[in-house]
Amino acid sequence: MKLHRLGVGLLGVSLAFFGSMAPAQAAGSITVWVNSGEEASYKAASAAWSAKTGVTVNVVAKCGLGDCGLSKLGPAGAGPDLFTASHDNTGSLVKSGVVTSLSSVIKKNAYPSAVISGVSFNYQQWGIPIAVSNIALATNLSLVPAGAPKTWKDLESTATSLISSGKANVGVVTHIDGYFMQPFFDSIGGYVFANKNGAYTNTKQVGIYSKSLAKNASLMDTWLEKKIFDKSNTYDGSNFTNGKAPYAVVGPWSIDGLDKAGIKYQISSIPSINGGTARAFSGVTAVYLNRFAKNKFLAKQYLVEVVQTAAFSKAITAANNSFPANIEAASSIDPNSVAGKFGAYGAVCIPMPNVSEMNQVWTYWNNSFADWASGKAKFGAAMESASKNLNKALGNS
Amino acid sequence: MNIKAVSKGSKYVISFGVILLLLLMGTKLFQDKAWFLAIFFYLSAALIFYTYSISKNTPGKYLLPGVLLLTLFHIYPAFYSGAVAFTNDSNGHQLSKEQAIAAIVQDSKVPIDSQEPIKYQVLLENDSDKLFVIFKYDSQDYWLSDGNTVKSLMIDSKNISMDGTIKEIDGFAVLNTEQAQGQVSVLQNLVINLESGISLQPQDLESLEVSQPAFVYNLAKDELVNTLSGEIYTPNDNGQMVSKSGEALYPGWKANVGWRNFSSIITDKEIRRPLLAVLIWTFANAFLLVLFSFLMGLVLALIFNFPALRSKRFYRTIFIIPMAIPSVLSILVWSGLFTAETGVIDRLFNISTPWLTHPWWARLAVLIVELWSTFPYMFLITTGAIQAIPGEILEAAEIDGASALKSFTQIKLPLVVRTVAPLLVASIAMALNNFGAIYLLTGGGPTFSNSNGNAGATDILISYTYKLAFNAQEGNNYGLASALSILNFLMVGIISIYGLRKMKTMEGIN
Repeated sequence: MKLHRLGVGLLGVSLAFFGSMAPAQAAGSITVWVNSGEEASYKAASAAWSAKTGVTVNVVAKCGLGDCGLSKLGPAGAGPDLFTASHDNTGSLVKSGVVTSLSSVIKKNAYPSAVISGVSFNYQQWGIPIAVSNIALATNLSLVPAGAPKTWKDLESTATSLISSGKANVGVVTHIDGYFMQPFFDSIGGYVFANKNGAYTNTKQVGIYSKSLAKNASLMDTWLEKKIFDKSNTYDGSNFTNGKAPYAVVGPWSIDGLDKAGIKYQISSIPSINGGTARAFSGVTAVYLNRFAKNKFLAKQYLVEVVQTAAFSKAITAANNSFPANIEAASSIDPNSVAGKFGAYGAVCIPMPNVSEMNQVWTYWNNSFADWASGKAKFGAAMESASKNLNKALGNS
Repeated sequence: MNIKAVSKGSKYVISFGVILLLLLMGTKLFQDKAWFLAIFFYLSAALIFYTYSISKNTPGKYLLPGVLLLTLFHIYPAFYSGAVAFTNDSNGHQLSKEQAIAAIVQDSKVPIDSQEPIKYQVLLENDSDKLFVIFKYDSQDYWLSDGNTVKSLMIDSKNISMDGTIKEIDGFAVLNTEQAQGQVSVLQNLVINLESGISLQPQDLESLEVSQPAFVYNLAKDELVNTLSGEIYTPNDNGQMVSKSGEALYPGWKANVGWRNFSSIITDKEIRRPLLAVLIWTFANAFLLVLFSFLMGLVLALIFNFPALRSKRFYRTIFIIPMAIPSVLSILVWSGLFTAETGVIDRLFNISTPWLTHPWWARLAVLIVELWSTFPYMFLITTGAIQAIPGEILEAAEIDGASALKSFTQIKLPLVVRTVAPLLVASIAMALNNFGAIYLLTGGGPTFSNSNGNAGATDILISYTYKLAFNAQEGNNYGLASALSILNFLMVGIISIYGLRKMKTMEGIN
């Protein structure tokens, strides 16, 4: 009898398969790949449009921040119509030919110019921006009642006195890699590529071992020695949440965890050694159109009528604590809220370069940070070799 | 109930179900233009039908499922990666040549701001059912196009309604918006190139976007011309359009590059430099691992073979536990133990060791973890080998006055080694491919700073290959990775063949 059931089951599967092979409706649905964990907010924000037009919006959770295998799936016709990615992938997405220009769709004046530069490549726009996210400094208020540090000296002295009195294990909880260390890197005068208003057109000028950085590099070694940064290079967030570290570098994605831990914290910008603000990289999450999309007209309609609206930008960012890319939505954010604080700092940050050369940058840059943290090289020497290797790989020298 | 009848009935239902499933999958693959797999599924369906319904060949009935699955999951992937090894399949080279050139032209289009989108209507030719679009451009004339040709058309003014839409044309059916909706898959890929160099493309169901492409493709000469600079781009042998001055256009396409992936392993300094270090560690890791785990297994087997020792079974069970725990779990636990300063090991001994960040410590850590998960196997097989030594031989040695050490080195060890030698060779072959432990524990790191970030101190050939293929930061290079995996296959294959040969000669001795 059991075998009988198996046979019937197989028949059932075959029939279900047959059903799935029936030609899909030519109109009436689009597929959107989003960062996993965010599918609920995308679904909710598209529901009204979906009901009005009768178009089904299939929101699928994928890795959603980069290529996601799209460069293979797209040309094979297995990709979605739209997908989200962070803007620094723009260059490589365009170069692999899997996205199509949205210059004729995007309303440029709805976004700050730095955000537009982020999704631009070769004088065209490729993505519709939704959110801006950047890292910022979190201060544990029970350990530092005075609140966020105003100057770097303030931060350094607070951290060292807490460490020497045994109250803290480490000064700033952070990953030691290019993205997380960028503000401190910027603070001592380093930069990746020279940029103009957030547009990176000259990749010949690499500033990973700039003159000013070379001069200040020993400061980094001192900070590592003083335990301002954690040598083990493990992002031990529990140090911060347990009150064993006064500061942590956090992103919008960390906020849920901090709230759950139930600590009192304050989000602020990161001070620079020369009195100003140290600039982190700001990243834009944008929606891109697959070149091989099956429903391009509907997808474009969705981009114009839904994704481009202030309400959509606001709904998505409210769900993940990031800051809206849309100017109108951004103006409605309370400056004292967590998102508002991230946004205020983000406004002075540098857009993360979106050129495809960044792939090599991350590799060499991150490795040098790792070498430095593990004690293999002094900071200056590590960055000098990163700069040398990078220039060679990019054919600059 | 007659069990035989029921099972016979089930047999038909099941084989019918399987055949139907295979046929449907074949059809689906056929639609997706996956020719090889489609043919494979059709052929499998036919073979299954023949073998189980017509043929009287009993061995065939047992062999067929295995053969089919072997073909699908081993032979096909092997040949596929073999084929990929001869292409430049990598990031920026994923499209076909036609797709890539269309993409270059498309991406070079600059919308003409002063030009409003042009209204268009969709027509179907009555005779051929072919789709045309009709629109008014530049003059009072109407233009008719199917994407390939453009011709002007006079339309009787009585057929044009007040707002300029066309009511009917001889020989064509005029579609309304709902009907046009059904043609969307054609419309969204339609490009109309006018002689003036202007390009029109539907942006929705009603209007055409007017743009000016910077690149024009000349099919006859197979070249792209930049209309702004006059520069000419011709295809090179790496699947890209290149100008005389060497400027390459993106995206490129997938092209055959012959033996270049293989030769680049030797000629490309960037690949070769880490490769040598990786190869040395691959072999060192495999030999050291097998040596240590064999020694450890042997010593434990000898200890737990003492007749005087009690609760031997209990100890033996304990020793097999590492084998029973899924290695993914145990390796992740080990990586937690190895964390510098805050990890259990460092805190236990109150030391600060850069376990996973310093090359030599990381190699040691990898060996320790691998040793932990492989010694139970060695313990089992050496225990078996020792117990298989005939008691009378040892007794004879004892009577002859051999010391315990002598009876071990002269009798036990040679006999054990002779029995387990083929297994040791097989273990080495397996250790050469021990991807999981490396990937989960260190990820191959700490990386060499001169290796493009792809190779690290604990990388073995297969994990280096994986990083080359799937490291999104470096760009996926499937072609090179396939070439390397073929090398890896040859390396492991030669060692396995050697092992099998050895096994045969051993059988001869016994």
